[in-house]
Amino acid sequence: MNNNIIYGLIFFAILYYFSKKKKKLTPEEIAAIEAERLEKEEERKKAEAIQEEKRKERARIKAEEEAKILNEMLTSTHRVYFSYSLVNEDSPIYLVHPNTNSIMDSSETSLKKLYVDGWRLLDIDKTGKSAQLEDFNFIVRLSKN
Amino acid sequence: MEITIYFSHSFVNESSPIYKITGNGALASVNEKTTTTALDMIKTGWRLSHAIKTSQSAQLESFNFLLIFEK
Repeated sequence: MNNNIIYGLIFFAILYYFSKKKKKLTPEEIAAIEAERLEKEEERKKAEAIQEEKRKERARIKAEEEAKILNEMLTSTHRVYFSYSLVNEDSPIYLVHPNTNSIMDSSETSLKKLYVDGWRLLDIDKTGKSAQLEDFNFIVRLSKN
Repeated sequence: MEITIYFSHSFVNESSPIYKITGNGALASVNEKTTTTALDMIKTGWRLSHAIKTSQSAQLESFNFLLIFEK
């Protein structure tokens, strides 16, 4: 009875060994697998390059639009700026994109610089309720004759 | 024309102490060494063009103001 169990275990062990043993590949099969891997890698790189190209194109279009709008705003004799924290004449202030209401980082300037360029403060409004200096959000309106 | 901005913790008259704020954003802080008054500013040729109350408090001791002077 015990012998039968031992023979049975040996049989299943041998069966398991052969079922898990990797088939030895021929050089042609290895080459084919490698070629397939390289092809997939190439396709992946191409897809990434296309995505990167699209991203650059979108960024270029956005920058062109922003430059055009910024140019129009900069030729006006009235400007509206926003500041996250207006605490002194050197605090950074920014123009606001008229279509998206987003801050145009490329327009960063300060009241001091604008005064040197002949701009004058017309009106100023605190837009946030916070009394903390770092949250002194302001809308600033300026004009130039 | 020049512009300068001061801050006051309690701007209740022309002799209330006012201060410059140095730094920006999270680094902004009141510079006690720059203490002056609106009266002194006017004597040196500056004109108060805008005074903006920056806190909600109605207590005199908390009349926080941002003061914009031009010359």
